[in-house]
Amino acid sequence: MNDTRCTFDGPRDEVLVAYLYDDIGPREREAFEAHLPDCLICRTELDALSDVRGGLAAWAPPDVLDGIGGTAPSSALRIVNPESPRVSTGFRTFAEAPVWLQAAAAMLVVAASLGLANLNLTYSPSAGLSVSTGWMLPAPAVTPAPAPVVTAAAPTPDPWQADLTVLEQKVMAGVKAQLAATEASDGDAALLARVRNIVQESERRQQRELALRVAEVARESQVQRQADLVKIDRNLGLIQRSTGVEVMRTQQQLNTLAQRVSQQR
Amino acid sequence: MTSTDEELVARSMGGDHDSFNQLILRWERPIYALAYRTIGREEDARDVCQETFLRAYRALPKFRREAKFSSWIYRIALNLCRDWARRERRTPVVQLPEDMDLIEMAAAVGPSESIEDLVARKDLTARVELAMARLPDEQRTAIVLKEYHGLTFQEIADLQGCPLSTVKTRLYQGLSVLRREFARSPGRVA
Repeated sequence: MNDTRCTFDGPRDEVLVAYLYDDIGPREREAFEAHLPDCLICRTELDALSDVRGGLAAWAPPDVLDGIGGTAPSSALRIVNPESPRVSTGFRTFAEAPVWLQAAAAMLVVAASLGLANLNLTYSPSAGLSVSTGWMLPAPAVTPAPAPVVTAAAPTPDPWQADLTVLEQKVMAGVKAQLAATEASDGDAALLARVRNIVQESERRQQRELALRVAEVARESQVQRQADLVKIDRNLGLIQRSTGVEVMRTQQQLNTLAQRVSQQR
Repeated sequence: MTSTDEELVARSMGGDHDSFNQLILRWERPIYALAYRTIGREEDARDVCQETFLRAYRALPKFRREAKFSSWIYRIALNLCRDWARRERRTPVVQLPEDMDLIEMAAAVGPSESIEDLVARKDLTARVELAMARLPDEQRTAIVLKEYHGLTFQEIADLQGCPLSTVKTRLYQGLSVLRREFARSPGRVA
């Protein structure tokens, strides 16, 4: 055993720190463990550095109560995509469309079908529902013009076609109006929801901050009181000590005087 | 099931922001702790932490997947800490006043912690901070990475760009300095 000199064969400091952190190869570990029982210096240093590590464990960064990237407990740092398209809440399928629009579209389809099938569908309180064919009048015959001038007959638009066009335009106008209204209301609703969220978040934050401030004030007063008590205690101790010293000095002086008096007598 | 860092990185590289947010959630506190222990100021540590993830996000397409995400993010954070120290020309690690601020200490007290425990804990923390502040940057960083983040010597060597033996020497020297500082301070730390 050597208590004054370390005789470890190798880079002793590096091996010691590797052993300390348990980040060491098996061969080095074996060699160092064989060396340790015989070396008081290494054992002492190992213990001391382990204690240092124990002390380091007490060093914690301050708590981040409000998140690292934000001001609310749950609003930590986040990556958001500002370019992500806003999800439209408009209807995507026929089933999602309003009832009146579905009915209008159905009427349009029925009307077009009737027109194509050359059917006449009528309803009256007296006759009830009646379906007849051939309501569409044949196109007027083209009177041949006297020769030598030959003119092509201009096609006369059917009356149902005009109705169909008007109905189609009405339906399309309705659809467009509804789409515009939906978009606008979507925007308003989203904005309202955002504002509402912001207000709620702000209220929550204020409540939280208020609670924190109140707790802080309570703690401050408690700690201040504790600190004052410690100071008073310390000062009292000092006064007592100094008083004791003064009393001792006085007693010594009295003793000295008494001795002198007795000697003079 | 929890995704690994590598899986989250792969998905993030494919444009999945939620995956990157999960990486942030996983690593923001270690990075913040690293920044705080390296530069010693809470607000600046927050800034460094945010900037670290911002830079990581921007540099994500260049990230080589054979490297560990944690090593990569630590490297970014340490570079930012170094830049911060250079730019601000400040002495890293908190400068503590002569007397501890009891009011400030009170703000950190937990509901179950007594004043005496709080004073003792804060006193210990203050001594450790002061002792760490006296270490050279390389030694302090090596100790922080090993002690608080559990990196291997090799990982620290890669981050610090030095040989493995240098890392061990830095740690040994740093711990030895701390040992002397702790022994010298009025209330023994260890």
